[in-house]
Amino acid sequence: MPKIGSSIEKSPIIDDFALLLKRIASDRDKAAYRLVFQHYAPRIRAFLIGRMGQSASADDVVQDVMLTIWRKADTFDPAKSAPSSWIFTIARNRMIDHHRRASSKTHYESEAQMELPQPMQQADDLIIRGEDSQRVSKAVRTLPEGQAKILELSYRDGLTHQEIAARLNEPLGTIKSRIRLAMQKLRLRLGETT
Amino acid sequence: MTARGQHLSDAWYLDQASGTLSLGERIFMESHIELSDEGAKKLADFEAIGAQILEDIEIENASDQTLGFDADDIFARDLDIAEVTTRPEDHTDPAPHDKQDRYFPIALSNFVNENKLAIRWRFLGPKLKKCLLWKDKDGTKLWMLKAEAGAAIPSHSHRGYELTLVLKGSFHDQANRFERGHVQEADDDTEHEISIDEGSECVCLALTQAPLAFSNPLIRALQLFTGI
Repeated sequence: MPKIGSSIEKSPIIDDFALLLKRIASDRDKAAYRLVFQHYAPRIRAFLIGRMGQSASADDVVQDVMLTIWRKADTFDPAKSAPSSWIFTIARNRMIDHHRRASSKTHYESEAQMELPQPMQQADDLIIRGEDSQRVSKAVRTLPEGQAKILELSYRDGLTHQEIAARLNEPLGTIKSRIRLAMQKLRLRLGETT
Repeated sequence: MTARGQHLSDAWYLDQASGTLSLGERIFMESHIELSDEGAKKLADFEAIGAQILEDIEIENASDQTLGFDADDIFARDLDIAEVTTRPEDHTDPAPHDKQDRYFPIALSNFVNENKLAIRWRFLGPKLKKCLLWKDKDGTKLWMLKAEAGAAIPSHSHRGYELTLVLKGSFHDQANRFERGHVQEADDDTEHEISIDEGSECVCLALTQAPLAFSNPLIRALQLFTGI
Protein backbone atom coordinates (compact mmCIF):
# COMPACT_ATOMS: atom_id res chain seq x y z
CA MET A 1 0.00 0.00 0.00
CA PRO A 2 1.16 3.54 -0.59
CA LYS A 3 2.30 5.85 2.16
CA ILE A 4 -0.50 7.67 3.92
CA GLY A 5 -1.62 10.77 2.10
CA SER A 6 0.31 10.01 -1.09
CA SER A 7 -2.55 10.16 -3.57
CA ILE A 8 -4.15 13.49 -2.86
CA GLU A 9 -4.50 14.25 -6.56
CA LYS A 10 -6.91 11.36 -6.91
CA SER A 11 -9.23 12.43 -4.11
CA PRO A 12 -12.84 12.46 -5.26
CA ILE A 13 -15.16 15.40 -5.14
CA ILE A 14 -16.88 14.91 -1.83
CA ASP A 15 -20.08 16.71 -2.79
CA ASP A 16 -20.59 14.27 -5.65
CA PHE A 17 -20.72 11.31 -3.33
CA ALA A 18 -23.05 13.15 -0.97
CA LEU A 19 -25.36 13.74 -3.91
CA LEU A 20 -25.14 10.12 -5.01
CA LEU A 21 -25.99 8.88 -1.52
CA LYS A 22 -28.95 11.25 -1.44
CA ARG A 23 -30.20 9.83 -4.74
CA ILE A 24 -29.79 6.28 -3.46
CA ALA A 25 -31.78 7.16 -0.36
CA SER A 26 -34.60 9.03 -2.06
CA ASP A 27 -34.92 7.23 -5.43
CA ARG A 28 -33.20 3.87 -4.85
CA ASP A 29 -31.07 5.01 -7.78
CA LYS A 30 -29.05 1.99 -8.94
CA ALA A 31 -26.92 4.03 -11.33
CA ALA A 32 -25.88 6.30 -8.46
CA TYR A 33 -25.10 3.26 -6.33
CA ARG A 34 -22.93 1.76 -9.06
CA LEU A 35 -20.72 4.87 -8.99
CA VAL A 36 -20.37 4.68 -5.22
CA PHE A 37 -19.66 0.96 -5.54
CA GLN A 38 -17.03 1.49 -8.21
CA HIS A 39 -15.12 4.00 -6.12
CA TYR A 40 -15.44 2.56 -2.63
CA ALA A 41 -15.77 -1.23 -2.93
CA PRO A 42 -12.14 -1.79 -4.07
CA ARG A 43 -10.83 0.63 -1.46
CA ILE A 44 -12.85 -0.96 1.33
CA ARG A 45 -11.61 -4.37 0.19
CA ALA A 46 -7.99 -3.20 0.22
CA PHE A 47 -8.49 -1.62 3.66
CA LEU A 48 -10.13 -4.74 5.10
CA ILE A 49 -7.60 -7.14 3.60
CA GLY A 50 -4.92 -5.02 5.25
CA ARG A 51 -6.67 -5.48 8.57
CA MET A 52 -8.11 -8.98 8.24
CA GLY A 53 -5.79 -10.66 5.75
CA GLN A 54 -6.69 -12.02 2.34
CA SER A 55 -9.65 -14.18 3.22
CA ALA A 56 -13.21 -15.07 2.40
CA SER A 57 -14.18 -13.33 5.64
CA ALA A 58 -12.77 -10.02 4.40
CA ASP A 59 -14.77 -10.35 1.19
CA ASP A 60 -17.90 -11.14 3.23
CA VAL A 61 -17.40 -7.97 5.26
CA VAL A 62 -16.92 -5.91 2.09
CA GLN A 63 -20.27 -7.25 0.88
CA ASP A 64 -21.87 -6.37 4.21
CA VAL A 65 -20.47 -2.83 4.02
CA MET A 66 -21.66 -2.31 0.46
CA LEU A 67 -25.08 -3.75 1.34
CA THR A 68 -25.33 -1.41 4.32
CA ILE A 69 -24.53 1.58 2.10
CA TRP A 70 -27.33 0.54 -0.27
CA ARG A 71 -29.88 -0.19 2.42
CA LYS A 72 -29.08 2.59 4.90
CA ALA A 73 -28.19 5.53 2.66
CA ASP A 74 -31.12 7.40 4.22
CA THR A 75 -29.18 7.59 7.50
CA PHE A 76 -26.37 9.57 5.86
CA ASP A 77 -26.64 13.24 6.75
CA PRO A 78 -24.31 15.53 4.77
CA ALA A 79 -24.71 18.23 7.42
CA LYS A 80 -23.14 15.92 9.98
CA SER A 81 -20.38 14.06 8.21
CA ALA A 82 -18.55 13.62 4.93
CA PRO A 83 -19.56 10.61 2.77
CA SER A 84 -16.08 9.14 3.23
CA SER A 85 -16.33 9.41 7.03
CA TRP A 86 -19.77 7.78 6.99
CA ILE A 87 -18.53 4.93 4.80
CA PHE A 88 -15.28 4.51 6.75
CA THR A 89 -17.17 4.13 10.02
CA ILE A 90 -19.51 1.56 8.46
CA ALA A 91 -16.50 -0.45 7.26
CA ARG A 92 -14.85 -0.22 10.65
CA ASN A 93 -18.04 -1.16 12.50
CA ARG A 94 -18.77 -4.12 10.24
CA MET A 95 -15.20 -5.35 10.71
CA ILE A 96 -15.62 -5.12 14.49
CA ASP A 97 -18.99 -6.85 14.20
CA HIS A 98 -17.37 -9.67 12.26
CA HIS A 99 -14.66 -10.14 14.91
CA ARG A 100 -17.32 -10.12 17.62
CA ARG A 101 -19.43 -12.75 15.85
CA ALA A 102 -16.35 -14.88 15.29
CA SER A 103 -15.53 -14.79 18.98
CA SER A 104 -19.06 -15.31 20.26
CA LYS A 105 -21.34 -17.97 18.89
CA THR A 106 -24.22 -16.59 20.94
CA HIS A 107 -24.38 -13.47 18.80
CA TYR A 108 -27.04 -13.42 16.14
CA GLU A 109 -27.42 -10.96 13.35
CA SER A 110 -30.45 -8.95 12.50
CA GLU A 111 -31.09 -5.67 10.79
CA ALA A 112 -31.81 -4.10 14.16
CA GLN A 113 -28.29 -4.88 15.28
CA MET A 114 -26.46 -3.59 12.24
CA GLU A 115 -23.89 -1.16 13.54
CA LEU A 116 -24.26 2.18 11.88
CA PRO A 117 -22.17 5.21 12.64
CA GLN A 118 -23.28 7.10 15.70
CA PRO A 119 -24.70 10.55 15.04
CA MET A 120 -21.90 13.04 14.93
CA GLN A 121 -21.69 16.67 15.86
CA GLN A 122 -23.00 19.30 13.52
CA ALA A 123 -20.40 19.97 10.85
CA ASP A 124 -19.96 23.56 11.97
CA ASP A 125 -18.68 22.32 15.30
CA LEU A 126 -16.05 20.11 13.79
CA ILE A 127 -12.54 21.18 13.12
CA ILE A 128 -12.00 18.56 10.45
CA ARG A 129 -14.97 18.52 8.11
CA GLY A 130 -15.93 16.73 4.96
CA GLU A 131 -15.10 19.59 2.66
CA ASP A 132 -11.62 19.62 4.16
CA SER A 133 -10.93 16.17 2.76
CA GLN A 134 -8.20 17.10 0.31
CA ARG A 135 -6.60 19.40 2.82
CA VAL A 136 -6.70 16.61 5.40
CA SER A 137 -4.79 14.41 2.99
CA LYS A 138 -2.25 17.15 2.34
CA ALA A 139 -1.85 17.89 6.04
CA VAL A 140 -1.36 14.22 6.91
CA ARG A 141 1.28 13.97 4.20
CA THR A 142 3.30 16.75 5.82
CA LEU A 143 3.43 15.13 9.25
CA PRO A 144 6.87 14.10 10.51
CA GLU A 145 7.64 10.48 9.64
CA GLY A 146 7.37 9.31 13.25
CA GLN A 147 3.84 10.70 13.59
CA ALA A 148 2.65 9.46 10.19
CA LYS A 149 4.05 6.02 11.00
CA ILE A 150 1.83 5.80 14.09
CA LEU A 151 -1.29 6.64 12.07
CA GLU A 152 -0.32 4.01 9.53
CA LEU A 153 0.22 1.35 12.20
CA SER A 154 -3.14 2.22 13.73
CA TYR A 155 -5.41 2.42 10.68
CA ARG A 156 -3.58 0.10 8.29
CA ASP A 157 -2.21 -2.54 10.65
CA GLY A 158 -4.85 -2.29 13.37
CA LEU A 159 -2.54 -1.78 16.33
CA THR A 160 -3.58 0.00 19.52
CA HIS A 161 -1.38 2.78 20.85
CA GLN A 162 -0.01 0.35 23.43
CA GLU A 163 0.83 -2.19 20.73
CA ILE A 164 2.43 0.54 18.64
CA ALA A 165 4.68 1.45 21.58
CA ALA A 166 5.73 -2.20 21.86
CA ARG A 167 6.24 -2.57 18.09
CA LEU A 168 8.42 0.54 17.89
CA ASN A 169 10.10 -0.19 21.22
CA GLU A 170 9.27 3.32 22.42
CA PRO A 171 7.89 4.44 25.80
CA LEU A 172 4.10 4.64 25.87
CA GLY A 173 4.29 8.31 26.82
CA THR A 174 6.30 9.05 23.68
CA ILE A 175 3.69 7.42 21.46
CA LYS A 176 0.86 9.27 23.19
CA SER A 177 2.75 12.55 22.79
CA ARG A 178 3.31 11.92 19.08
CA ILE A 179 -0.39 11.21 18.56
CA ARG A 180 -1.30 14.40 20.39
CA LEU A 181 1.23 16.43 18.44
CA ALA A 182 0.07 14.94 15.15
CA MET A 183 -3.52 15.93 15.84
CA GLN A 184 -2.44 19.38 17.04
CA LYS A 185 -0.54 19.92 13.79
CA LEU A 186 -3.42 18.71 11.67
CA ARG A 187 -5.86 21.01 13.44
CA LEU A 188 -3.44 23.93 13.19
CA ARG A 189 -2.72 23.42 9.51
CA LEU A 190 -6.36 23.00 8.64
CA GLY A 191 -7.29 25.99 10.76
CA GLU A 192 -4.65 28.20 9.16
CA THR A 193 -6.15 27.82 5.70
CA THR A 194 -9.82 28.01 6.68
CA MET B 1 0.46 11.45 34.25
CA THR B 2 -3.23 12.02 34.75
CA ALA B 3 -5.58 13.50 32.18
CA ARG B 4 -8.41 15.33 33.86
CA GLY B 5 -11.80 16.54 32.87
CA GLN B 6 -14.04 15.82 29.96
CA HIS B 7 -11.76 13.91 27.66
CA LEU B 8 -8.93 11.39 27.49
CA SER B 9 -5.59 11.55 25.73
CA ASP B 10 -5.85 11.55 21.93
CA ALA B 11 -4.41 8.03 21.72
CA TRP B 12 -7.71 6.59 22.94
CA TYR B 13 -9.75 8.36 20.25
CA LEU B 14 -7.29 7.16 17.62
CA ASP B 15 -7.75 3.58 18.85
CA GLN B 16 -11.53 3.98 18.87
CA ALA B 17 -11.57 5.48 15.36
CA SER B 18 -9.32 2.81 13.89
CA GLY B 19 -11.34 0.01 15.46
CA THR B 20 -8.46 -1.57 17.35
CA LEU B 21 -9.92 -1.70 20.85
CA SER B 22 -11.08 -4.77 22.72
CA LEU B 23 -14.78 -5.15 23.52
CA GLY B 24 -14.53 -3.78 27.05
CA GLU B 25 -12.40 -0.85 25.97
CA ARG B 26 -14.87 -0.09 23.19
CA ILE B 27 -17.87 -0.12 25.53
CA PHE B 28 -16.02 2.27 27.82
CA MET B 29 -15.17 4.64 24.96
CA GLU B 30 -18.68 4.52 23.47
CA SER B 31 -20.14 5.30 26.92
CA HIS B 32 -17.75 8.20 27.36
CA ILE B 33 -18.43 9.63 23.90
CA GLU B 34 -22.17 9.51 24.50
CA LEU B 35 -21.72 11.75 27.52
CA SER B 36 -19.04 14.10 26.19
CA ASP B 37 -19.42 16.52 23.27
CA GLU B 38 -15.71 17.20 23.37
CA GLY B 39 -14.94 13.48 23.24
CA ALA B 40 -17.34 13.06 20.29
CA LYS B 41 -15.56 15.85 18.41
CA LYS B 42 -12.18 14.27 19.00
CA LEU B 43 -13.45 10.92 17.73
CA ALA B 44 -14.99 12.56 14.65
CA ASP B 45 -11.64 14.19 13.86
CA PHE B 46 -9.83 10.86 13.97
CA GLU B 47 -12.59 9.23 11.90
CA ALA B 48 -12.03 11.94 9.28
CA ILE B 49 -8.35 10.94 9.19
CA GLY B 50 -9.35 7.29 8.79
CA ALA B 51 -11.73 8.23 5.99
CA GLN B 52 -8.95 10.06 4.18
CA ILE B 53 -6.66 7.06 4.53
CA LEU B 54 -9.42 4.99 2.93
CA GLU B 55 -9.71 7.53 0.11
CA ASP B 56 -5.95 7.58 -0.40
CA ILE B 57 -5.67 3.85 -1.00
CA GLU B 58 -4.45 3.57 -4.57
CA ILE B 59 -6.31 1.04 -6.63
CA GLU B 60 -4.33 -0.02 -9.68
CA ASN B 61 -7.42 -1.02 -11.55
CA ALA B 62 -10.24 0.97 -10.02
CA SER B 63 -12.91 -1.28 -11.44
CA ASP B 64 -14.63 -4.01 -9.50
CA GLN B 65 -12.66 -6.74 -11.28
CA THR B 66 -10.79 -7.74 -8.14
CA LEU B 67 -14.04 -8.28 -6.30
CA GLY B 68 -15.93 -11.54 -6.36
CA PHE B 69 -19.21 -9.68 -6.63
CA ASP B 70 -20.67 -6.58 -8.22
CA ALA B 71 -23.44 -4.08 -7.55
CA ASP B 72 -26.05 -6.44 -9.02
CA ASP B 73 -25.14 -9.04 -6.39
CA ILE B 74 -25.79 -6.42 -3.71
CA PHE B 75 -29.23 -5.65 -5.18
CA ALA B 76 -30.02 -9.38 -5.27
CA ARG B 77 -28.88 -9.86 -1.68
CA ASP B 78 -30.99 -6.90 -0.63
CA LEU B 79 -34.08 -8.57 -2.10
CA ASP B 80 -33.25 -11.84 -0.32
CA ILE B 81 -33.00 -10.06 3.02
CA ALA B 82 -36.16 -8.05 2.41
CA GLU B 83 -38.11 -11.29 2.14
CA VAL B 84 -37.07 -12.49 5.58
CA THR B 85 -37.05 -9.27 7.58
CA THR B 86 -40.70 -9.41 8.48
CA ARG B 87 -39.77 -11.20 11.70
CA PRO B 88 -40.80 -8.95 14.59
CA GLU B 89 -37.43 -9.28 16.36
CA ASP B 90 -35.74 -7.53 13.48
CA HIS B 91 -37.39 -4.28 14.44
CA THR B 92 -37.44 -4.39 18.19
CA ASP B 93 -36.05 -1.43 20.06
CA PRO B 94 -33.33 -1.88 22.62
CA ALA B 95 -34.65 -3.21 25.90
CA PRO B 96 -35.98 -0.39 28.08
CA HIS B 97 -33.84 0.65 30.99
CA ASP B 98 -35.09 -0.45 34.34
CA LYS B 99 -34.86 1.80 37.38
CA GLN B 100 -31.46 0.47 38.31
CA ASP B 101 -29.66 1.45 35.14
CA ARG B 102 -31.51 4.59 34.12
CA TYR B 103 -28.26 6.52 34.33
CA PHE B 104 -26.43 4.04 32.11
CA PRO B 105 -25.27 5.34 28.72
CA ILE B 106 -27.03 3.52 25.87
CA ALA B 107 -23.82 1.72 24.86
CA LEU B 108 -23.45 0.29 28.35
CA SER B 109 -27.13 -0.55 28.64
CA ASN B 110 -27.09 -2.38 25.30
CA PHE B 111 -23.98 -4.29 26.32
CA VAL B 112 -25.63 -5.39 29.56
CA ASN B 113 -28.87 -6.38 27.80
CA GLU B 114 -27.29 -8.15 24.83
CA ASN B 115 -25.10 -10.23 27.10
CA LYS B 116 -27.94 -10.77 29.60
CA LEU B 117 -25.74 -9.55 32.43
CA ALA B 118 -27.25 -9.29 35.89
CA ILE B 119 -26.07 -6.22 37.77
CA ARG B 120 -25.01 -7.63 41.12
CA TRP B 121 -23.12 -5.36 43.47
CA ARG B 122 -20.49 -7.03 45.60
CA PHE B 123 -18.46 -5.83 48.57
CA LEU B 124 -15.29 -3.96 47.69
CA GLY B 125 -14.59 -2.07 50.88
CA PRO B 126 -16.30 0.16 53.45
CA LYS B 127 -19.08 2.07 51.60
CA LEU B 128 -17.81 0.64 48.31
CA LYS B 129 -19.32 -1.94 45.96
CA LYS B 130 -18.19 -3.30 42.63
CA CYS B 131 -19.77 -5.08 39.69
CA LEU B 132 -17.52 -6.81 37.18
CA LEU B 133 -18.89 -6.55 33.63
CA TRP B 134 -16.15 -7.95 31.42
CA LYS B 135 -12.67 -9.39 31.72
CA ASP B 136 -10.13 -9.89 28.96
CA LYS B 137 -7.58 -12.70 28.73
CA ASP B 138 -4.82 -10.24 29.60
CA GLY B 139 -6.55 -9.22 32.83
CA THR B 140 -8.09 -5.97 31.62
CA LYS B 141 -11.41 -5.44 33.36
CA LEU B 142 -14.49 -3.33 32.73
CA TRP B 143 -16.33 -2.85 35.97
CA MET B 144 -18.52 -0.46 37.88
CA LEU B 145 -17.86 1.12 41.22
CA LYS B 146 -20.70 2.23 43.46
CA ALA B 147 -19.65 4.39 46.38
CA GLU B 148 -21.71 5.98 49.12
CA ALA B 149 -21.56 9.73 49.61
CA GLY B 150 -18.42 10.66 51.53
CA ALA B 151 -16.65 7.36 50.87
CA ALA B 152 -12.93 7.30 50.10
CA ILE B 153 -10.72 5.10 47.94
CA PRO B 154 -7.33 5.05 49.65
CA SER B 155 -4.11 6.12 47.98
CA HIS B 156 -3.18 3.82 45.13
CA SER B 157 -1.11 3.64 41.98
CA HIS B 158 -1.54 1.53 38.85
CA ARG B 159 0.22 -1.17 36.93
CA GLY B 160 -1.03 -0.06 33.55
CA TYR B 161 -3.86 2.29 32.73
CA GLU B 162 -7.02 3.07 34.66
CA LEU B 163 -9.84 5.01 33.02
CA THR B 164 -12.79 6.16 35.10
CA LEU B 165 -16.04 7.60 33.75
CA VAL B 166 -18.54 9.14 36.16
CA LEU B 167 -22.08 7.91 35.47
CA LYS B 168 -23.79 9.28 38.55
CA GLY B 169 -22.81 11.59 41.40
CA SER B 170 -19.34 13.08 41.64
CA PHE B 171 -15.92 12.60 43.22
CA HIS B 172 -12.74 14.56 43.67
CA ASP B 173 -9.05 13.84 44.04
CA GLN B 174 -6.21 16.05 45.21
CA ALA B 175 -6.69 18.55 42.38
CA ASN B 176 -9.99 18.17 40.53
CA ARG B 177 -13.67 17.40 40.78
CA PHE B 178 -15.31 14.92 38.41
CA GLU B 179 -19.03 14.70 37.66
CA ARG B 180 -21.27 12.81 35.22
CA GLY B 181 -19.57 12.46 31.84
CA HIS B 182 -16.13 13.41 33.14
CA VAL B 183 -13.26 10.97 32.76
CA GLN B 184 -10.09 10.47 34.71
CA GLU B 185 -7.10 8.82 33.05
CA ALA B 186 -4.35 7.39 35.20
CA ASP B 187 -1.30 5.33 34.37
CA ASP B 188 1.86 3.91 35.92
CA ASP B 189 3.07 7.31 37.08
CA THR B 190 -0.13 8.26 38.89
CA GLU B 191 -0.66 7.83 42.60
CA HIS B 192 -3.87 9.32 43.90
CA GLU B 193 -6.67 8.95 46.34
CA ILE B 194 -10.29 9.57 45.55
CA SER B 195 -13.09 10.94 47.74
CA ILE B 196 -16.76 10.74 46.87
CA ASP B 197 -18.58 14.05 47.23
CA GLU B 198 -21.28 14.45 49.87
CA GLY B 199 -24.96 14.48 48.92
CA SER B 200 -25.26 11.54 46.54
CA GLU B 201 -23.86 8.12 45.88
CA CYS B 202 -21.42 7.94 42.99
CA VAL B 203 -21.37 5.28 40.27
CA CYS B 204 -18.43 5.05 37.88
CA LEU B 205 -17.57 2.85 34.93
CA ALA B 206 -13.93 1.82 35.19
CA LEU B 207 -11.48 0.18 32.84
CA THR B 208 -8.36 -1.17 34.52
CA GLN B 209 -5.47 -2.95 32.88
CA ALA B 210 -4.20 -4.56 36.06
CA PRO B 211 -5.15 -4.62 39.75
CA LEU B 212 -4.73 -1.33 41.56
CA ALA B 213 -1.61 -1.06 43.70
CA PHE B 214 -2.66 0.16 47.14
CA SER B 215 -0.07 1.70 49.46
CA ASN B 216 -1.68 0.23 52.57
CA PRO B 217 -0.67 -3.44 53.14
CA LEU B 218 -4.00 -4.22 54.84
CA ILE B 219 -5.87 -3.08 51.77
CA ARG B 220 -3.52 -5.07 49.55
CA ALA B 221 -4.48 -8.15 51.57
CA LEU B 222 -8.16 -7.31 51.07
CA GLN B 223 -7.60 -7.28 47.31
CA LEU B 224 -7.25 -11.06 47.42
CA PHE B 225 -10.97 -11.16 48.12
CA THR B 226 -12.21 -8.24 46.08
CA GLY B 227 -10.21 -8.92 42.91
CA ILE B 228 -9.91 -5.26 41.91
